[in-house]
Amino acid sequence: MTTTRFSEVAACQAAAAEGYGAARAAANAGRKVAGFMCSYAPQELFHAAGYLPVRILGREGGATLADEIIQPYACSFARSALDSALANEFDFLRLAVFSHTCDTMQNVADLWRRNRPEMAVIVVSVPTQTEGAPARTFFRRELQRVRQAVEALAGPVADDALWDSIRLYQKHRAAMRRLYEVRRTHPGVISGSEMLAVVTASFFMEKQAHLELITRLADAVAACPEDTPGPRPAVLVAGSVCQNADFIKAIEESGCAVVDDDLCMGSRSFSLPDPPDGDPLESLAEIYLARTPCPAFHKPGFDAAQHMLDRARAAQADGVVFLLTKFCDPWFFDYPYISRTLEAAEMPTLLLEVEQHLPAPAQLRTRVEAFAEMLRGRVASWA
Amino acid sequence: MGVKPCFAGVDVGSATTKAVLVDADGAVLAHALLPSGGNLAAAADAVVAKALADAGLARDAIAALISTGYGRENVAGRLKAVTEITCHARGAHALNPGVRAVIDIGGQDSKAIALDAKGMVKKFEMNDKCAAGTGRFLEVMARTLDVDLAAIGPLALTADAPARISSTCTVFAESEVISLLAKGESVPRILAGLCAAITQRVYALASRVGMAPVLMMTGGVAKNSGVVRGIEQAAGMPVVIPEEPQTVGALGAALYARDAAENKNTIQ
Amino acid sequence: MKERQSLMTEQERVPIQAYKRMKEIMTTYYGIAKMSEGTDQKIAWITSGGPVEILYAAGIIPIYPENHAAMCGATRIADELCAAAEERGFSRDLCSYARTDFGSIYTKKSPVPGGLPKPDLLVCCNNICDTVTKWYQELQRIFDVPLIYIDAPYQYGDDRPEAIDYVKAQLEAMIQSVGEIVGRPIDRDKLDETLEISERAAALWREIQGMLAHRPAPMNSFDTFIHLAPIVTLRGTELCIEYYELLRDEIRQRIEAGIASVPGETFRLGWDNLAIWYKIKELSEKFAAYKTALVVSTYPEGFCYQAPEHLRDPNDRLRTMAATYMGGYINHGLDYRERDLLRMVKQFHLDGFVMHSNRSCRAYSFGQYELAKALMEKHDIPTLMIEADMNDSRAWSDEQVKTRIEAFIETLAARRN
Repeated sequence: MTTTRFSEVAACQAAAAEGYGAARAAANAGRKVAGFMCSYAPQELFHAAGYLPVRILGREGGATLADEIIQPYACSFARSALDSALANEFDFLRLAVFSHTCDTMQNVADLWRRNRPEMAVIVVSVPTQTEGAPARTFFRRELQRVRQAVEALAGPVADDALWDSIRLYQKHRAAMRRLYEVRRTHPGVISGSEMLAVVTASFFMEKQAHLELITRLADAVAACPEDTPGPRPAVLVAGSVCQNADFIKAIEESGCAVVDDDLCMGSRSFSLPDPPDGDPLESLAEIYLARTPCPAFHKPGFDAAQHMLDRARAAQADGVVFLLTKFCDPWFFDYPYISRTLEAAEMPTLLLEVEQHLPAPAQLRTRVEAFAEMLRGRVASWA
Repeated sequence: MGVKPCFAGVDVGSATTKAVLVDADGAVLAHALLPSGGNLAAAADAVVAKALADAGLARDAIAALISTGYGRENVAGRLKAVTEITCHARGAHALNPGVRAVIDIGGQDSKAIALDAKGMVKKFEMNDKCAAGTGRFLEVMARTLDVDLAAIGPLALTADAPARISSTCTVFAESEVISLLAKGESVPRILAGLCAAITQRVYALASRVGMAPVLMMTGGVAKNSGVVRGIEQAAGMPVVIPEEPQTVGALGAALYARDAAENKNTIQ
Repeated sequence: MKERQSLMTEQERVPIQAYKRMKEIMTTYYGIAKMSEGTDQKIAWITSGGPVEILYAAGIIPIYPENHAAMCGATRIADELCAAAEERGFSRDLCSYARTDFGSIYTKKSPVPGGLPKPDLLVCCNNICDTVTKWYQELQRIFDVPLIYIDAPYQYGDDRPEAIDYVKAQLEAMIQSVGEIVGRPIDRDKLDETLEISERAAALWREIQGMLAHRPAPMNSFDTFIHLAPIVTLRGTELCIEYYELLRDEIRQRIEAGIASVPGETFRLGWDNLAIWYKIKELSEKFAAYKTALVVSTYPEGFCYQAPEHLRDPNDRLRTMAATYMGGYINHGLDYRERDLLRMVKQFHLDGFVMHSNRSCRAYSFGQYELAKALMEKHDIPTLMIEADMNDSRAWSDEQVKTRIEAFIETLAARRN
């Protein structure tokens, strides 16, 4: 654990390091805990039903149990999480929630259900194309079905309780967005590794407790004098999951300052608009479909490259590091287009292909160091 | 006695460790190569000693030393460590300022680098962790075929056509080679097929960074005429091979050492 | 085993005659499409499970990149095309069909001289996988033409009414958009007529496959892989029906004449997942050498899927169409798949299953280990797992597959004794 000047970061680092310890303790004390696999899970519904929602992550180490039920060409995030499930490491969960996103997750949900028959499983069928009335109507009906499934497990969920949860999550996301915002002007104050710990803690902690921490943290960061990343080139890290803190650490130790991210396990989880008033399920359908889309989805008119370029420029990044999980098809399909577009706009890119259950390979450091050397060469304008 | 200072670059690769000494004008005084072995620090020490002996210089003649390569953090007495990407670009640029692309195939890594007119890296790619497309692939196959590593290129060039080796996985390709032998396929044709397989793998990297003349190949595999010809055909342009393709990274490191000592153009 | 084989009369395998006609039809189809390039005739690229009838009703020629990729695989140019896509930054772990077609667009290399005709429109339906979503997004970036997307939600249990309603609403929207693209509203009678032609073709294709339940099988799965080209590319045309009537009649005659696809048929197997296009002939011969016939496959079966009776609404043609486009085997979860595999085991008198664990097709492949386990543990049906890829032969190992096939057939023989 790195040292930090903020007690709030230290609390998050502790929560991130503890992982499921707190959730397990809560479960032992009688709390219902629901695991969710993907940021498209409408956590608000489960929260309103009295569950403590925690994100399902894999862990470092082999996946020999998973190897018996899924091929090695499944991404390491899926294999590692399945392996943990098969090893009964999620025995404190009463419910596992999957969202239909990519081909891999689609099957992982089924494999989990068939191999952990004692655990309730809900798969949320998120429309793959996120625009238009048919998608919203369908998702509203799907959320109604999910609500009924949750109610069958945990008792009735009143609209008021649901609105309370929706408002709490809205506040939490807004606070996270504000933290990301103040960080842009304080890249030397709070590092990429520290931010990852804050994000990871949000997957394990009670929402209200985490909200209080990050609200105070954003205030504390904002109160510091504005600064720059110093001589280190500033990078934005993009990708899906990043369950291994080692990756961001390796990037920072190899000479880059991580000043922002476009990660699912990062800013993307908080990029939902504020919920409109009215029917709570309609409201939920609206915000989950209007968010920055996971690359597994089809959002007509959304330009993934422009989105990333805008974000990188807003963060005054010198380059973009793609931290992609091997076999993550949705990202790898977009990568050539996004990187080509960024480079045409003078935003250099670096691709790091990682396996989530393994430590950062030695070559990763070489690549990042070379990228940092390259960016410094550009920044210092050799002449 | 006023010894003229020299500047050292040490490239600790997975298979071979290389050293280059340059003088204050950047002229090469000596170079040396040794197998890396299990002790990278010792190999680095030994190769520097060898180069110094060659140049007739004592250890304290080295004004600055920069290390590079896979074992760059293991080199004692380094001013700093710089990656082999940056060093290869620098070395290639020094040897031929017209160079805009470098393909380096070493024992464990292969990389492609696009550079600008000043020798700065514009973009680079490295192989994934698979051994296909590295010197290791050819080493395994040379052993399977009982052919001297250095003979692969010349033998491959005698083939009328390459045998079809579809697999680029080292393990699968090895079994393919064995069954080709069993079917009576000639060794030169198999070797030509292997060179084509490695070429295809490496060229995919190269085209992702963009190939433009002058294209230089470095690393041990640059000595393999079969692979070089394959790259030339794929890229549609001639390939320049330096006299000592294995020491280009070390040369780049030595030149950075000189810059650092003179405090100009330094990589911070 | 050897002794027993030598006692059998070694018969020549009798090829399917209709194949010649199919080749003509396919050549003509691609020829006409290619000639239409750059004329007023509109061309759409569409996924294999896409609602093509709307295109026919609008007079648009549909082109199937998946079929084209398979042709590239069968003619063994796919590796080179995949490499061309990799040179442009596409990971070699991505779908080899997509890589093949991207490579063909870049290099213009294709069994169709000059490559596929450029599309005026893209139609993507994710009832076969979600990889097509990303594939067609890239096609849209390359060609800068409209992309119509039909989302058919994956079903873990019974098809949900809200999902069918959702597909229906999207089909309505597509009818509207396609009408705008061709500049006149879609003739709904023509659409109904086309849907009926499609259903008849699907029924014929199902009938033909059903005939393989006959012992000995008159045709095998390696043949059906080849003969599914018309049901993929010409579904919705009379020509498709004409062809399958021809094929059906020939298969009927083969049954009557006692012609076996694999003379001396001893073992009968099912096949799961896409064909291995660059090894069809070799695999066919390999299994035949062991008197083993592959008589059913989840893959060609996919193209005869029609909405089940309880989801059909005679008063709502479009909703029935939506129920059909929810798709069959590969848009359904493992419980459905397990039931369907068991049906095939019974209907086709199978001794076991061959599962092609298809490296770049995650949607189809993940779950196979689980299904193989269920088949063995619950139903005593053995499975042979072949690790390969539909189009990318660089992941193929002749020796490894050969050994696995031989060992599996030895097991089948031992089980029988």
